Amino acid sequence: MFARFGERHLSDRDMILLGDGELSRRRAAKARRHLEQCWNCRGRFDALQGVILSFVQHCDAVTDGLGSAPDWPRIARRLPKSTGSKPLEMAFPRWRPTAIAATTLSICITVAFFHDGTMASARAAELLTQASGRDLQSLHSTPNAVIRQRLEVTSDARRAEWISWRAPAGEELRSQWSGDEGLKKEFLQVYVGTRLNRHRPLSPAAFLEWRAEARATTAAVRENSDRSITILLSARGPIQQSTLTLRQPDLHPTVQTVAIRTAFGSRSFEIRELSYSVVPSAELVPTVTEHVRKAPVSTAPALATWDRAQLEDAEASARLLLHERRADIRFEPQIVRQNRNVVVHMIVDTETDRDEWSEALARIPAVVPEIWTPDSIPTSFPIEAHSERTTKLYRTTAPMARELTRCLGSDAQANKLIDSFHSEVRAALAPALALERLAQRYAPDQPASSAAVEEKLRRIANGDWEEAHRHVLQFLALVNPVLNGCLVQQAGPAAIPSTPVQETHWREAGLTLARQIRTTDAYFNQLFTTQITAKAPAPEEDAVTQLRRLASELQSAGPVPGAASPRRTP
Amino acid sequence: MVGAAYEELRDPLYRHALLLTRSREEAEEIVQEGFLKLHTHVVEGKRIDNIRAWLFRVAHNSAIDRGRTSRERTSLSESPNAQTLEGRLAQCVPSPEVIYLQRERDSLLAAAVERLPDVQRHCLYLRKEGLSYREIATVLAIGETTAVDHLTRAITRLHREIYVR
Repeated sequence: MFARFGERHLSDRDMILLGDGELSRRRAAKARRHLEQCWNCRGRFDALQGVILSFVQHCDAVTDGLGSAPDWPRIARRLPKSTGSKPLEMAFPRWRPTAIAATTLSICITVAFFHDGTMASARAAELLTQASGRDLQSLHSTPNAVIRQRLEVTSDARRAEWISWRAPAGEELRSQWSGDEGLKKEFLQVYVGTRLNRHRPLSPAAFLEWRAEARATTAAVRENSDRSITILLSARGPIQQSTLTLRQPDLHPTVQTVAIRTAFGSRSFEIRELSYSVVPSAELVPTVTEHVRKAPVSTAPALATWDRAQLEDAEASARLLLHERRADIRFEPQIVRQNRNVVVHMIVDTETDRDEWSEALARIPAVVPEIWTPDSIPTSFPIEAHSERTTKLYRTTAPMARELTRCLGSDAQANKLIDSFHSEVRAALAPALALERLAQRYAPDQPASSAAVEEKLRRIANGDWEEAHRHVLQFLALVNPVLNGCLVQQAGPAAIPSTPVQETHWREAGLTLARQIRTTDAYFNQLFTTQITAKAPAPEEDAVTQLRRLASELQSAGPVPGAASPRRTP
Repeated sequence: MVGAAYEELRDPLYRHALLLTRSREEAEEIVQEGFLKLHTHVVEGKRIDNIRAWLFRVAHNSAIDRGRTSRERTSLSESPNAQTLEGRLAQCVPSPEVIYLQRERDSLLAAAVERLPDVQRHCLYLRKEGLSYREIATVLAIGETTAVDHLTRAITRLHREIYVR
């Protein structure tokens, strides 16, 4: 919304969000600093707050003279008619404080706890908060406490044992594994790929945090035959379901199950506590504390192994989604492939945006969203914020970078051009990939079922082509002067030749266009940035020639889509 | 649960219904219906994630269904409270000129609010009752960003119509 303070005034939207307390802390602080310095914005801010005040007074003036809400007995009298149940007034002794009402109320509450999701949710939160409080209490009563937890991890008849020593804050001091090595790896990937906290296994507080972050819903809170209580949560992320069993009466967690969605269906893990003790660190042998490990940097998970086609499909879907909704993205997202998954790195404005994006992206198989708000960007985050972008972003040893800077006059200008180019490439790639996917799905040897369908496909392809090509022309407008002007000392044609539009079947056109855009991007990056996107970078001169050739081909394809070809599928 | 919700939400819900319908009877009816539906929902064992958003949505839809939102709405000058407002103004402001300006501004605001698109006006009403952006989006079945956009546009438009003349 406001990317550069100092350069721009606050927008009305920012001011309203600020007034409503909906800006992130960092942005709110920046906005307030700006308001302190800028009389214009302060005046406008006060004016908008004045409008809000007037509106509130106006509403109050309308409603004040029109009485208050109906009292409860009037509503309660209608209950038997509408629901066939007893009047609810009995459930509220405040209005009729009788012994019967109290009994009814207690029965209602008991029933509601186990049948109503809202109450189950409240009950789960209450239990987890209580359990978390007791957990902390036991830790605080021990000086320099260290937790030693012996856990049994099982999945599909495989078993591993995990002994973990950790500090109360969650930092793992030492861990020791025995048993099935494969299970250990898989299990640890569960923690990496989800929002569960590996450093606090079987912790009510961590479970509560995960519940909030994953926006998991409470499916049930049930009491087991041994009086222990199991809380069942379901979520829509990588973890489908998770349960935590709390022992009675101390509400200590003893078992957790996690059901994960993988490419091959669901997989379940169970973590069972075999022993738990809190000991002062002085009593521990030195080997436990001398090798204090740092928390691992989050990397993409390999919960499932996806093949290349699936990964490409996932990447295309993610790009399309980003393209469709990119208006809300503050910083350019970065899509990378890690451990046979597609990881989307992104910074968004608010936590709400983060949750929405995470949810949307997590629905695409093989896509792992790594989304942050400006307040919570980890140091390992691969994207630099726009506001912090300096000339060093593209100030590289890339072969043409210096030449580009010389031609354009400054690093800032060169970076701006590269930014614009990337932006247009991304915008062009989304419809081109859609076209490519369409072409792959309806390959020439798999024709559409009827002429009408074929015609419909052609229309869709037309739309994708036109959209892609609009952006293609825009990035060509950036590349061509660079190739023909700045880098004039390089060998090659001085101008891009304009050839007549070739009539190409839309299937071939889609595949070709996507390939051309990708390759153009790869060569451009090779020449002007350090982002080597080509697997085998070409020699510099070849890259220049290839870039010119591609620009020429893209140019010659023209704005008229190949999909207009009247040729029919064989 | 219904009782607690009633205690907490009956007044804001009633005010919202009143602003939409401008009829005490209609608003009462809407509030009653809302809580009856909530009770039925609870009895049937159905789950509600956010009771406030749910109740406001039910009441809002009910008010819209009654077709009172855009018609039969009395303006501020015709509302029974107009006298009270004038009286209040007369008591606290020193000069007739200020009274005149304030009254003019109030009537301008009332007219400007009436001219707002329904969705923008509803966003303002809901925000006034303390609903978060997310809850407003839930009640009106729109995206959260859209709700913010509507609110921003509504407020800037009111500002333009009242002050920038």
